[in-house]
Amino acid sequence: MANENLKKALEKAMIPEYDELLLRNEKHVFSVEFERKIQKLIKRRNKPYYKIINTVGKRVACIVVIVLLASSVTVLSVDALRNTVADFFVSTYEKFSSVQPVEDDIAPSTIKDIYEITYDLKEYEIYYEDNTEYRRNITYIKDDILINFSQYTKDAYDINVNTEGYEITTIDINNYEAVYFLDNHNYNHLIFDNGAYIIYINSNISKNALINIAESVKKIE
Amino acid sequence: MIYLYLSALETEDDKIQFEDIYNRYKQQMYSIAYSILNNEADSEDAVHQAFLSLAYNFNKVKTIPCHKLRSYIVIVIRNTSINIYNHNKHSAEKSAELDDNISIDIDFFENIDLNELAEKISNLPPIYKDILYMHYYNGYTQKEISAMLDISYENVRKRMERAKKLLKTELEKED
Amino acid sequence: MYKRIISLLCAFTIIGSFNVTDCSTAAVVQPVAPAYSYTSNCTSTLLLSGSTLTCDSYIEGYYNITDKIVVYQYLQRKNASNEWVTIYSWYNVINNHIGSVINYRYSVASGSYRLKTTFDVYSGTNYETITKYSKTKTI
Repeated sequence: MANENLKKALEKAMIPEYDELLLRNEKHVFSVEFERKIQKLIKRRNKPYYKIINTVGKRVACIVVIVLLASSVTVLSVDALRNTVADFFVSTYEKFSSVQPVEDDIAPSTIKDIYEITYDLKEYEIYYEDNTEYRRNITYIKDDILINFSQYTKDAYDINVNTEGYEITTIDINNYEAVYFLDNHNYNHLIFDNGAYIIYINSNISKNALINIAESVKKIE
Repeated sequence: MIYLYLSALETEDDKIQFEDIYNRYKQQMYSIAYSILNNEADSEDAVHQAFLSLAYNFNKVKTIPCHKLRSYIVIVIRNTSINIYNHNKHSAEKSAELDDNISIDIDFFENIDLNELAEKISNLPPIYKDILYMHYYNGYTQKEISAMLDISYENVRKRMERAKKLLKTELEKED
Repeated sequence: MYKRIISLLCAFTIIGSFNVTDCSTAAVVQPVAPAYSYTSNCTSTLLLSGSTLTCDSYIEGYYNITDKIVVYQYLQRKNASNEWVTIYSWYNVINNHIGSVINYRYSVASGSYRLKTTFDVYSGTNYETITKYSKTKTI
């Protein structure tokens, strides 16, 4: 399908260039050998098209075509195991899981209330911060310890998480049922739906410390 | 290759038309080749190869409208000269930074300012802008381009993708 | 020789053929992913507001392990034959273990859209490729 803008731009850019190149006319005297080769090309005796078809090749080609037509296009993949875990749809694959909240038409589509960790993190610095209308991410760091905190609108939350080798379970966080798992880098992950937003915290601190931090998440102001 | 066939200048009309093209364009073609190769013998080789290519593809060439034939001639001699140049220098076509398997959809260029897009096209290396011109302006298929420029189908595909990638990269530099 | 060729071809068919991504109208089945060695979690989000599409891709690697992430975003629309076609694409490099890429398309035509994001997640010269599709949004 033609892209009209690209076509016009090509015309604008290239036609003058080609015209300009054809203005060159150096009046070269071609060698005798060259003229002879060209005349030979022009005066070559008439030959009809002829095809040299390698018989074996043609048969193999036919077989390949038949095979390809016969074979269906299938997806070489592993079907997910899909479960409802807490307030989430969790599809588990070999190396990762995808997590989506259940449909909620009345949840806010933009972040109207800010939630934050109120646990004392004064020894931590903010390593990364990223805020939009639908997603807030803050990463705290102390030496090699990281705490990754996220607040998402439900509409914007659809995540792949590394669950390779580990199982997803649930934990109670302030009467919310949170999805919990440990990953293969020793990070603990907690995801819960607080009614309006999805809160997701992961960290390489201990599981109990992470639970305390998760329980400290409150609406600010 | 399973099929091998030769196309020649079959009729008297073909021969006359071909000779006419030869007489009209040989000097300009030589000039273009020389500007790339800086060598008389190589430049004559390039012109000869270009005319061989025109002869082999003459069934297609003779249907090209006159005003488009000019650009076609330039593209063939330019690409032939660059091929010879690279062959002499034993240098392969440089790869773009990105993986060749990723295809850029041309709708990317849909809303770009026309003048800016034209300018960036002009700045592309000749082999890339020529291939974009042949496919997206003239509407030649990749198979046709492969025959016209005497390069493999795979090379045509790769050049096309690299051309789009380079163009996209140049446009994004301004963002 | 023929028998050998034919039996090889038959074996090939039985094993199965390759995933043709983006041409299926069935629910997206995630392919068998490479190991999540350098990737902790990622999102590929498509949001619609009026006729503006927001393409948001976020990724967390592992601190001290992941050092670069190349993010490819492909905005896809369903065509008349119900196939997903990339209509726009972006490419960004994150020189960190964590980051996001956000791009917009304004005044989009009606249709069904999704965002495909491919992350090349690096640790030194090694990298793994993670692909994530967003939910479908219809205008």
